[in-house]
Amino acid sequence: MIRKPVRLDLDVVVEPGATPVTDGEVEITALCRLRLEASPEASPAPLDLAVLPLGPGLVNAAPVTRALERLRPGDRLCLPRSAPITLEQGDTPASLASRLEAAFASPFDTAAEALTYGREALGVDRRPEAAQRLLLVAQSPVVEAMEPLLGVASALTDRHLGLDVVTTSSAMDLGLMIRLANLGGGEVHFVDSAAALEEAVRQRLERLTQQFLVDVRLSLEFVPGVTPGRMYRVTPTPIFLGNVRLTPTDRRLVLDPGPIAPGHEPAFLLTLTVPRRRLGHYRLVDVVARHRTPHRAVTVAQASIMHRVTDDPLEAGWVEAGVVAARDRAEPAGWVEEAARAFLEGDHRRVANTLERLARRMLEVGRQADAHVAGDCRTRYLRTGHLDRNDLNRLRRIVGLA
Amino acid sequence: MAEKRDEPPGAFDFDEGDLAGAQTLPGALVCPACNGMSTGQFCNGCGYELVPPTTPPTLFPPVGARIDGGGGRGVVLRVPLPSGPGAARFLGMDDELGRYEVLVTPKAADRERGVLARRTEARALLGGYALTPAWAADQGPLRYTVTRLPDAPSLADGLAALLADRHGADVVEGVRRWIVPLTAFLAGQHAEGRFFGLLDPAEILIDADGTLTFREPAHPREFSEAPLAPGRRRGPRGFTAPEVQGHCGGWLGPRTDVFFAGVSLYLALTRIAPLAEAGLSGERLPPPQVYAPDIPPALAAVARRATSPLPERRYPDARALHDALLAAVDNTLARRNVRPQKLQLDIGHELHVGVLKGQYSPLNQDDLFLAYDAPSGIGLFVIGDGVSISEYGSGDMASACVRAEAVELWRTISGQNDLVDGTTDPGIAEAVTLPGLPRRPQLPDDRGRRRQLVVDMLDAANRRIADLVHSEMPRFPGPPEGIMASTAVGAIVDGNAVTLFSIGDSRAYLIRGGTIASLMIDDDLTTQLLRLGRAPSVARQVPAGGALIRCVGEFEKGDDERLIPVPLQPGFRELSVLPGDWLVLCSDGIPDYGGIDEEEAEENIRRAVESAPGAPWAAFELMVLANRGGGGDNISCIVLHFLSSAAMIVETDPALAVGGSAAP
Repeated sequence: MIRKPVRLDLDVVVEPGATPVTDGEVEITALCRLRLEASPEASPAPLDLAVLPLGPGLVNAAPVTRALERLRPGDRLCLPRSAPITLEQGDTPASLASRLEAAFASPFDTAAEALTYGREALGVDRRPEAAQRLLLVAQSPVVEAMEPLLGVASALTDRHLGLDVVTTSSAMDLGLMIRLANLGGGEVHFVDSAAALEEAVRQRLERLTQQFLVDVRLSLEFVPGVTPGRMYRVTPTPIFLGNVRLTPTDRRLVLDPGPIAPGHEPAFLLTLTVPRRRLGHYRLVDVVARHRTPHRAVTVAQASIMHRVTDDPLEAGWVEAGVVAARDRAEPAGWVEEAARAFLEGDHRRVANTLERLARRMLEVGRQADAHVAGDCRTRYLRTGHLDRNDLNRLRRIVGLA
Repeated sequence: MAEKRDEPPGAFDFDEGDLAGAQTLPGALVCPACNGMSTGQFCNGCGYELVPPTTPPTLFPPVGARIDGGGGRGVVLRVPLPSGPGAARFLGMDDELGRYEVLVTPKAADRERGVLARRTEARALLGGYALTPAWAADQGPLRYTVTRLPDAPSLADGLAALLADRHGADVVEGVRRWIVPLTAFLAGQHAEGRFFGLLDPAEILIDADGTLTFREPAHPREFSEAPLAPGRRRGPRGFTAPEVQGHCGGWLGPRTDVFFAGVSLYLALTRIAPLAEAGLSGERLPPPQVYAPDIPPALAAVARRATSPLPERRYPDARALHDALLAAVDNTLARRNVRPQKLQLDIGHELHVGVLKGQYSPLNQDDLFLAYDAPSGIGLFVIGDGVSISEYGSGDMASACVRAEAVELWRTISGQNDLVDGTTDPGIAEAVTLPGLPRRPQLPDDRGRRRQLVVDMLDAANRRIADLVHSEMPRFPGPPEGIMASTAVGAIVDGNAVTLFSIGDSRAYLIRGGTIASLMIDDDLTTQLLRLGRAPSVARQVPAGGALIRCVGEFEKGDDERLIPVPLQPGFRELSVLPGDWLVLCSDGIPDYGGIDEEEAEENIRRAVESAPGAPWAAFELMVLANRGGGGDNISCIVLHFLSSAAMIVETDPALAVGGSAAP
């Protein structure tokens, strides 16, 4: 048997896996995990990286320059106002320093400009075997209309382009950045020093340069009668991806899981509502992970979300504690955005209740200090009636979003 | 599919129902779940598995099978028991009606890692707490391991017996019989560096001497293995901690055993069936007194802490739980056996509008009254919390009515007819100071008559509210529910005998020796539903569950549109206090803002009180605590510290030395 050098597996754990037939409508949580196995002879895909500084003003290039030592020969670097650079043996960040200084000296004024440039730059002489990524380095808050920016960002997904954001600005709208990054399985890092900026970029590049697969897509096909609920990415960082909405005719959801590196595979959590049913074993969702190897073959990993309706109380008594623990970790990510939304809508009770729920969950998972941050935020909100960007960014950091 | 053609009637008669079930596609099946037709293993319409995979017939014998062990030994399998994968368990009986546990395992199973091997290892670790098999027999591909069971009932049986005997056996006896042996056993295991994580009360046998054995040996784990990462688990409903189900990180450790023992204690105290909600994330079990109002507060406090949904808030291990339980039993017996005596009483009180509440509502709707005569040891302490939202009148007027009637009651008790209500500003209530009393206050000896004094006081307050409304509106057109109302919580103190009363959702806490216990139950909709037997998960989700169902300010309307006061039914509790006890009466402004949640608030209240040098400091610290936590509600509290008659009270404010000429 010829063993593939790179193997992507998909496994699904469902909680509860079985429910008593006497139960009515049931909410089920499914944890879908991607697992990557790369044999020693496999080599990671080359990386095409566009680094996009976002201004205004002078943007410090030195931390990013140092972090770029993670790039390897064969990787390509796209910078504003210069031709793409394909690294060769012996190239060091120092040799790129002057180009980076020049790029960072004239940063983009808006994120829309930066993303548009990045998409076009990576489209020139595109290498199908390469993984492509945009890295937005923002040192000032984004001040632009949200919907056009989201439109530019969603166009990236058509090109299988993902976006990561590193920002040092406490006034940055992290909620907007998270929405941008979500579209391509990206991450947002909020750092408060040059050293932290360098470390965040370095860690991100470590994973980006360990991708063995490109253009991975996860598709979920829902059986009629199953109502999807909320979807989260659980690892590497918890993100609320949104409430899944399907139409009667289109029961499929496709998403970009983001970069998949060994040891840093993403996992997703999905809640489903299943109507009351007779005894039996049911398939609820077909999950398929498709990807292209560097040699253009399309490979598929497949699994199903299953559920059993049983009259055996012992069978119905099993609990997948790992799924529950993952849900408890992921849910707070959605609550922060829910609090932000409720504040914009003027729903003060929902803001206070959501913040209280968040504080309690931090307590439950043993994070006392974070619980008190959330509790203080709630108290401040009750006193002032105001939830500002600093508060929201602080909450996003404690739930691991940034 | 049959063709439809234009034929004359009768020429081609058929019933389309004849076509039901016909296969229109090769290999298509009708789904029994949705009646759709699909090919393949699963129905395309609903996902039902149409073609289950072939599974080999089960190896294990059915109930009723007889297992012969040779030499006249034999058991009949009677009842299936829970078991892990790869094995079956049964309760069996022999011809003399002796009971046995029968473990059935495939002979070909991996002897190193199979069920039998794990059980042997668990038995070795448990030593004398595990039963040794009586005999084993091989029949066909199966091995039967038969263990004689002692006559001791299981913990599950014991709790069921307590439930059936709700109003019978003494609660302390129940705790000693069933819970103390359990906590002693777990304390021993934890002391040896072992914990269990998953325990089943049906598998724990406890005889009348307190000897504990396992029907199926639970496999203890070393502390070094803790915390155990979340995985696939099964535990008995109502006894498993939240972390067993994956909450709180899903990590198992010694505190998981503490939860198990705590729930067992809770059920022994309340005499209710196990709650499936035990172990739900983030939800405390209801206060034990909801189900049994006279539960000794010390035992209730131990049960509450041991069953905290957050592992870090429980006792750190079973040794701490066992010690606390024994102390609580001693405390309970001491209260039962204490003789009537006079104690020194240190009193503190605070009244504050709340830093946040005061920004939008400068009127303090809380009010309080306190009076104490040191020589007789008799005192009256009352707090009222006016309901914020009312269409007719306001909460401060309602709580003022409660205070005014408390003054009247004290006049009656003390015989002081010229007693003056010290309140000068309707917005700020003050403690009433008393001139020299011509006689010592007197209370009826009979408990029923003391309670009647309180009922009369609250009914009079109710009438006073009605009179206030009718002074403005001789005919009342609106709904009675919109009339101003107030809670009331208080205590009549007679030496070391305290009669507590409550109507509404104000609180009374007993604090002693590092524990805090709530003494009364809230008169709200959620609590009422719990008392009527609704599941906590249902009761908590009822809309407006916090709405009061009983308070001062309850009326019906007569045909003449006059208000008819409803006879009030406050809750009562008798308590014998011991020297060193702290009693805190407060409105809900303190527990609501004293911490992130109620559990943390109670712990903060306890710490503030026990670390204070005296009652006035304690009251002040409670007021600061609530304001620091947001101050979104009015704050009022009365703190009573009972001391032995030889104790010295630090005098902080001579104006608070109420009680006539009594020297503190």
